[in-house]
Amino acid sequence: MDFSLGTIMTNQDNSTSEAAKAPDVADEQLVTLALKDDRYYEIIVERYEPKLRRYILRFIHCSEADAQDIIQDVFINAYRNLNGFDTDLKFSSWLYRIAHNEAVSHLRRMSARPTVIMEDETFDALASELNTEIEVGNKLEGIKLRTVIGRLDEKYRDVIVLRYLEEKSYDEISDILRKPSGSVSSLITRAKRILLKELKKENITS
Amino acid sequence: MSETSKKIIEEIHERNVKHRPKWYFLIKNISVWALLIAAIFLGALTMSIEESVLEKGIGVHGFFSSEFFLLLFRGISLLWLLCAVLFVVFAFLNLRLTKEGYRYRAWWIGLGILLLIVTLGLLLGHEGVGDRIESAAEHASWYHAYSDH
Repeated sequence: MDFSLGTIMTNQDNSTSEAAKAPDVADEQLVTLALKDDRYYEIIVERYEPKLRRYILRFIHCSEADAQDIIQDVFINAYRNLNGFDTDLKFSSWLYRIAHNEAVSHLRRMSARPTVIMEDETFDALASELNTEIEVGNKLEGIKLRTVIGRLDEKYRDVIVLRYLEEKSYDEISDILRKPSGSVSSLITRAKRILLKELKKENITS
Repeated sequence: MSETSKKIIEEIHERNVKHRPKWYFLIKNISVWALLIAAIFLGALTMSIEESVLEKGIGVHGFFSSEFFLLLFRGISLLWLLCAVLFVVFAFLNLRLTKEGYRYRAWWIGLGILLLIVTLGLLLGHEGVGDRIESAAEHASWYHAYSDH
């Protein structure tokens, strides 16, 4: 079978391929199909590339070009290790774990520098939780919150990004970071405490 | 398909990336478990030898003596203790590498492994395994050079 890109693009022939494109086809099913036919891997790439790029940009401050390189390594790594996908995990957790590891490797290679979260981010969930905790009526200012999150230590920033921006559950974060759920919960609590302290320093909260 | 996705797929084909075979992951998984079991077993063996050394050093009466801790301190073999600690650490690291290993708190894993090794070590000691190994080691010249009792 010819797997060249042109052929694949023009030859989305059978109905199973079309069916796999549908959002209701489970990732795990796609993985099984991708192991036999590369075309299904394209659907996985298409499905996760924007999500992972957003996650990487949120987690580490890098250029679009760097993010592109990281993403490429993530998908190549995932493709190489597809047979090792642990079916006890959600496929997205497995892929995010690879992305996390690649991003951390990239971070180690680069000199440490503060992260700036993208401006179009919304922090409604986190802001409302912090507001509830400190019982203030005023809304936290998004920009300041972004800056403070950017200054957080890597381990705290990562859980905050995964929890409040990627909207992952504690169990999913535990699978992505390979940490016990209890530790994830402690990290999030500590991260929020540090955030509150920093926000108070910046006079954002009353 | 987006440009980035296209590039990724092209790169996979250009580099001729292949799926690692299933047996690669199977062997990797089995190796981790085999090393873990080996570390626990060897840890238990060293623990049983340590118990045998201590029993000789302290003696039956020493256990009820007021100088028990002094006798324990003097009788303990640092060589076997060090070996036991190394096997505990090795088993701990291997357990963390298993698929499910990260789900448990580090200190629970450490405590569990320590308890398992000590219990198995005492059982092996009770069966006289530690005695036999210690007696066999006594014949080796290196043993006296490194043994401190």
